[in-house]
Formats: sequence, C-alpha cells, structure tokens
Amino acid sequence: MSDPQRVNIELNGRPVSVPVGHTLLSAVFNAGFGTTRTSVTGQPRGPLCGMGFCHECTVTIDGLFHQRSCMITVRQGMVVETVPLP
Amino acid sequence: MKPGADVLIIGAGIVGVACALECARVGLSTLVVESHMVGGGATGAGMGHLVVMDDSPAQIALTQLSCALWKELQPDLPGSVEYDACGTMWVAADHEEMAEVERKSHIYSNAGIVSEVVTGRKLYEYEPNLRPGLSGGLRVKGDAVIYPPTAAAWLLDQAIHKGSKFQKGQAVREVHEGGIVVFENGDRLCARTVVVATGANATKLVPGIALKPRKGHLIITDRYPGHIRHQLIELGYLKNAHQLTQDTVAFNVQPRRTGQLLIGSSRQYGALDSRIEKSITAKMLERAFWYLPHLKDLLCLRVWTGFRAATPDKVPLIGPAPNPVTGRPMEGVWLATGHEGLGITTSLGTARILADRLVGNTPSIPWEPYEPLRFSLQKGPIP
Amino acid sequence: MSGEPKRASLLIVGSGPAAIAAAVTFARYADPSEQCLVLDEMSTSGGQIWRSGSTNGLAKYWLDGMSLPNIHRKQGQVLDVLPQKPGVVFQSPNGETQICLGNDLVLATGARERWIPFPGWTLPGVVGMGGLQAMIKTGLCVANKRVVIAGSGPLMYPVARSVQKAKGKLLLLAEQASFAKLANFTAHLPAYPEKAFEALGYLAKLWKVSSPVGTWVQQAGGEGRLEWVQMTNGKKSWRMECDYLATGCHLIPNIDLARMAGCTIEKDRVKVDSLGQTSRSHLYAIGECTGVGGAERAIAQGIVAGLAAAGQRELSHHQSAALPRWERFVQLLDATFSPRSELLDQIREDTIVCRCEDIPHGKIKPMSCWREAKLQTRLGMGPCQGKVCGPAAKALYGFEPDFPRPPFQPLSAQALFQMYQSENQES
Repeated sequence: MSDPQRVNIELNGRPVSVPVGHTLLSAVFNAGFGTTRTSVTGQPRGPLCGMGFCHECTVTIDGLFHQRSCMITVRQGMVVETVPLP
Repeated sequence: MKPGADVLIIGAGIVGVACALECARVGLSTLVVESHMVGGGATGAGMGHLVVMDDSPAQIALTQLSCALWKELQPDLPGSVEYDACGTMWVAADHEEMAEVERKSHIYSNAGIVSEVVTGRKLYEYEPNLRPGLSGGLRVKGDAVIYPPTAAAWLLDQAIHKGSKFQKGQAVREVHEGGIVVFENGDRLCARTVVVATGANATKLVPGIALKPRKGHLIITDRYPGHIRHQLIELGYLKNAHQLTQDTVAFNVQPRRTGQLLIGSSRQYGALDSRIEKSITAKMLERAFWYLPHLKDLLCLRVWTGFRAATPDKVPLIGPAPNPVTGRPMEGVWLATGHEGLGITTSLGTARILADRLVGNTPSIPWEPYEPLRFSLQKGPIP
Repeated sequence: MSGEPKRASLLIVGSGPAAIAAAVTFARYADPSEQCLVLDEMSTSGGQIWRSGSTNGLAKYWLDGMSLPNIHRKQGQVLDVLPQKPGVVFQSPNGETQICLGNDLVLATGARERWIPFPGWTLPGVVGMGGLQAMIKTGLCVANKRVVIAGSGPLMYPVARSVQKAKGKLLLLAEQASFAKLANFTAHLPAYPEKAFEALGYLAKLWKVSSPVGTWVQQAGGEGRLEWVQMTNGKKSWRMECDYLATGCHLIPNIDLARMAGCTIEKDRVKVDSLGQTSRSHLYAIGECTGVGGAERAIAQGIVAGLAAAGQRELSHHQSAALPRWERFVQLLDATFSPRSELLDQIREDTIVCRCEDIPHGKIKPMSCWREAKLQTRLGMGPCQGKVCGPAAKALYGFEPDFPRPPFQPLSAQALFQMYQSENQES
C-alpha cells in the first residue's frame, strides 16, 4: 500500500521514500548523501543559503541540470542525481 | 615636443594590445595607454570566435592570416584563455542553403582552408541537438574559440615582457598631428606614431572617419557540457549580418570551454545606449530556439550588449588616419579599428600588418584594402 | 503566452511581515472594490521569518489577515520591474508569464545573509544561519547532529531555538561582535521593549548553551565534509568537532529590484521617505530592503505604506511617527554586528571567494574593480550572479557591484524570451 503522506523518488539510483512537503534538499541529506553539487574544480559542496540564491544545492532532476533542491518540494517519481556533470 | 616612444597605442582592447606586442617584437619602443581596464570594451563584450570569413577577398586574407597567427600562439596560451579548437559548423536549413554550402566550400578550398561538406545524418552525429529536418552544413575544423578578456591581458603581458610600457587610469581627450596625445587631466605625450585602437570610440579622437557603432546582444547560459560541439552559425549569417541599414538577428551559438553556451547574435545601427532591447533579444532567442529546440530549457545567467566598430565595406581601418578637414593622412596618427564583429580574430593580423608597415616591411598580405584613406580619398578632400 | 496584464490597485512584491502588513492594512482601509495583489516566490505567506506559519500571536494576527477577500496572492518569480509604470513582469511556476500592474507598487524584497569567506567555508556542512533554519523547517533532520552556531546578529537566537526544538546537539552559540559593542547594544535595548522581551525569551531557553561573545570561526576542516571548526576569541584558539556549522555575518538588504527600478539607493539600502515612498513615484519600499531592523519595524512600515496606498494620508502620517525609532534600531544593529577586522584578515590566498566559479582570494586581490575581476578571473560569473560573492568582495576589496539587470536569478531561455516579449508588448 502506498502511504498518502509519503512520496517515492529515485536518488542516485536508489529508491527513497520522503514525507510529503519536504524539500528535495532535505530528502538528499536525510537519505545520507552529504553533498549536493560538485564544484567546477571538483570540490564537493552542500547547501549554504537554504533559500534559493546561492545555487550550491543544485542537483539534476529528471535530466535537467542545475535545479535548486532547496526550492523544490519532492514529487512522486522524480529521478534525482547529485553526481557531477559529464 | 620630443617623441617619448616610437609608438603610443591608445586602448588596451585586444587590437591595441596585439599591436603593442607586434610593435615591441619588431623593436619599436611602445607605450599602451588605457583609461579603464584591459579588454573592458568590445573585447569583453564579444564572443571570441576565431573564424575565417569569406565576405570579401580582403576579409578572407585577414581572417586567414589571423587564424594562422592564433594557431602559432596556441601552445603558449594559458588555460585562462580557454582556447578551444571546436571548429565552426555553418548550418544549412534547406536545399537552397545547401547550394550555398557548396559555394562556400569552394571559396575556402581555393583559399587553402580545409572544410567538410556535411549532409543529412552526419550533421546530427556532429550536433545531435540541432532541430530535425535540416539539410546539412559546412564544417570548418580549423576555427576555434577563446575567452577574449584574458587573451588581451595575456597579450599585454607578453608585450610588457618584450619591453612595452603600460599606463592605466587616464583617458585620452585629444589626438593631434605630429603624434601628440592630450589626456583628460591636461597631460601631453608625444610619439613618432600614435595608434588609435579604441574601437567604435575612435571617432571621438579622430572625427569624420568611416566608422559607426553597431550594437550587439549576447546571452550566456549556465554550464551544459556537450550540448553543442561546434560554434553553430546559420548560413544566412553573412546575408543577415551585413545588411547595412536594418536591425538583424542571426543564429550564432558558441560552446564555451566552461560548458556554457553563448547565444547570439544581433546587429543594430543607431542604437547608442547599452540597454537591453526587448524586441531584438526576443527575436534572437526565437531564432536560436528554431535551430536548437532544447535551448528553451537551459538556464540563462546574463544578458549584455556591446558595440562593434563597423566600416561601410566591413573591412577594418589599419594605417594612417585621414585628417578630418583635408582628408589627407594625419602626420603621426594611425588607426587600428573598424573590425566589426571580427576584432578578436583579426587583432593579430591587424597588428602584424601595422607593425610591418611602421618599420617599412612589406606585409605578407596586401595592406591596401585596409588603408583608412580609402574612404576619404574616394570622396576627395573636403573643399 | 501572457495575455492581458493583470491589474490591481496595490501590487506588492514579497510576502514577509512588511508585505503582509501592507496588504492587510490596505485591504482594511481602502474601498472594498480595491484589490491588492501579492507576488511571492514561496508557496505560503510569511517570508523567511514566518516560514513555518504562525510562530506567535503577532504572526498569527497578520497571517490570518491575508485571507481578506480583496487580497490575492500569486506564487512565482518577479522577473523584471517596468521602467515607466508601477508594474512587474511575473512568471508563475507553470511558466506562464504576464505583466502585473498596480496604481502603486510596493517592494518588500527582504534581506539575505552575508558571509565573509574563511578557510574551509565551502565544505558541505557549513551552512548559513538562516539557511539552516530554513532547511530544518522544510524537513532537514538534525536530531543528534552536533551543531555550532557562530556568526553575528540577532538571527542566531531563533536559529539556535530551531536546532534545539529539532533535537540537534547545540554545542556553541558564538557571536563575533565584541563585548563592548554588545554592552552598548544592551544599553539601548530598553528603548525597544518588544525586542528586549524577545531577547529575554531566548535567554530563558538558551542559557544552558555555551554562548561566548567576541568569538568567531577561524577555519573549518574535514575530508570532503565538515568535521571540525577552529574557533578563536583573539587570545586562544580551539577546535570543536561538529556536523554543522551555521554561520553568517548579519543580513544585507535585497535591493536589486529597486535599483533596477531606478530608486535611489543609500548605504546599500533603498532610500524611502517617512511614508515608505522611494525616489520613484507610486513606488514604495518597506521591510528589510530599506534596512535590516526585524519584523516589528517591517510591520510598522507595512502599515504606513498600506495606509498611504489606501489613500489614508492622515492616518499614514500619524502611524509614521513610530518609524524614526526603528530607523535608529537599524543603525544600532548595523553598528553592533558589523564584521570585526579579524574576519577580513584571516582569509588565505587559496580561500575561495566565488563559490560558483571557485575563484580564490589570491586571484582577485590584484584586481582594481568588480568588472575587471569579473572579466579577468570570472568572479561573480556563476549562477548566484554575485549574490554571495558580491557582498564578500565589497567587504574584502571594496568592490562595488555592477548595476543589476535581469535575469536576477538563472532563468530558462524560454522564460527569458517570454519576459522580453511581454515587456515589448507592454511598452
């Protein structure tokens, strides 16, 4: 049975169940991933501002790069990657 | 007044600093004066496409010479210059434009430039994100892309290394016969030859020259490595780019070494302020979307404008400046401007021709087509 | 595409306390036929400070007012502000772009955190203070995580409470401002009883937490993630292991939209008269974008501007008598929580200043201005568009940022296209 209070997303190839209303950023960190973005010189990065202006928490969602995970609420079935760009 | 240097170059844009390097290289004592910063004008606003253009024999000769000079420099360029030998893909939308591909390829091969006629599927192997249904294109492998402001800074460093001097912070107010320069603060300097290399602003120092500012817009995206692989230009580009009266847009998108896409291009006469013009920017984007439909989803970071220095025949002004009244050469005052949208490419060729002429060498390509007096001599001295 | 412009009597950008107070006051005092339209990027009203809903009676009172029938709210991004009329270009989350016009336009764009870079500040786990609070409110689990809060400004205390309530282990609550500055601040606090009571409330909950003053972060370290911070009080330094460091150096007003609109800016804040009117007619600015002074001041400003927009000039003037006191509070906060010089001196050659483009201090230092640094080093060229590194570069090198120009946030090419098209049709 699916729980109406939770949504299922795919995070770096792993199925993860997240409470409705959580931001994607929280989902990434609560699932144990310690970073969101890899910087242009290859450094691991995590969120800074938490409100959409620093762009450190960007991830790839359904193939779209550079999406701010702190501004996006989890949606059923979203496929999320925190791996560096090709 | 005694000349303080052989050559005094006004403007540290890419043309000015390239001239400084060449002058220093042939042993002339050289001083560059710049009011603000290196590469802060059209150099910092432009695309940085190193490209052979075939609008006229003079344009092919200068762009070809210049691209060869860039290739010579390439091994020495620092990483910050972001040199990328990505090549150019001239995109043919339909059969009519495919015929143009054949014609263009012919011109290139006559000039000794390698190009590849690309048809059908092969186009999408090179550029999978182009819209379906296009006819093909012409791939010019030897073209490249650089980041102009750091290239200008590096060229200046090389010039300084070869003995050139650099002075920053004071704008030049006037230039007079006899190689005299008057600064905003009243200071004066004299050189055997003053070279005005201030792009579209050259008319402020030498009034009456055949030069108009031509405004352009550019948009840059976030990083999307591999989205496109060549600088992509529509084949109608020259047709569009060189209408002399109308505002035009053309599809011209560049892959940066950073993975960013630089989206162009627009051309406007008569627009003198730097604000973003909504209708032309919208048209430019619409044109880019037609060729690259997925571009719509990519995030854009910045939009800006710049001014090209355009001449009536689309060929730069390299040589003695015409006196505004007599139309005769001004003593000790030369021009190195009028490069329109090709200044990054042709900076090196310009500098080579200028330095050769200054020391009395014969340039490796005919210099007459770039002679600034060509316009004033045509109309004759002003009575 | 866009269709007809959306019209309202009062158009408000933002929905924090200032915006809410303006909207609710306007709705109560204007003719019932007059409509107020509130535009905000977040899905619910309250701004950052009231993000999780009504935290106290004051918040509840104002938030409840938002349900008045002549207040309308639209979620989305303000893409640009119109040069001639009081209006903006607005984009809904579904991508629909339209022009919104008002008889009056109120900018309540708030403030954001400022950071002065220090070695290690780019490690994951180093977060903003407001940032950590926002993350906790939207689901981040900090239960049993070791948290150090070290920064400057009153924001630290609600953040500390959020960490406590979320069962995080709050190890330290360090304020960089000196004891002398804080003593001066405390001496002035009785003039602001609302604030004094608030401070006492926090004190009652946080008294067990080690809370040194004149203490700041020297360095953060760890392998791929924050593992420790090195603290100092200028005399001695010590290391503490932790999972999160929440840090920030007070707040700075968000003035891009107002600057773009042509409003006069003074000392990095939007300049307004006693009724909240900017230098451009029919354009008001209220709340933190006019100076950082907290929710009570923002509400007072919102009431004044709401009354003025409703045509209640006399009432508005009467209410504006409350504002000079709050103006002094803004100045008091700025003076108390300005960064100490040691924060500017501890940066190293390889400390990254621009996080988007990974540009270190050593490369930026020789540059003469923001534009030169941008062109030669790529400082500020990334997606934050200088919102993080701009204020840092101003503090470190005195660089004044470029004049802002849309897009203010990275924007899809399609949205940019729609923005230009809408504006072109409107002009």
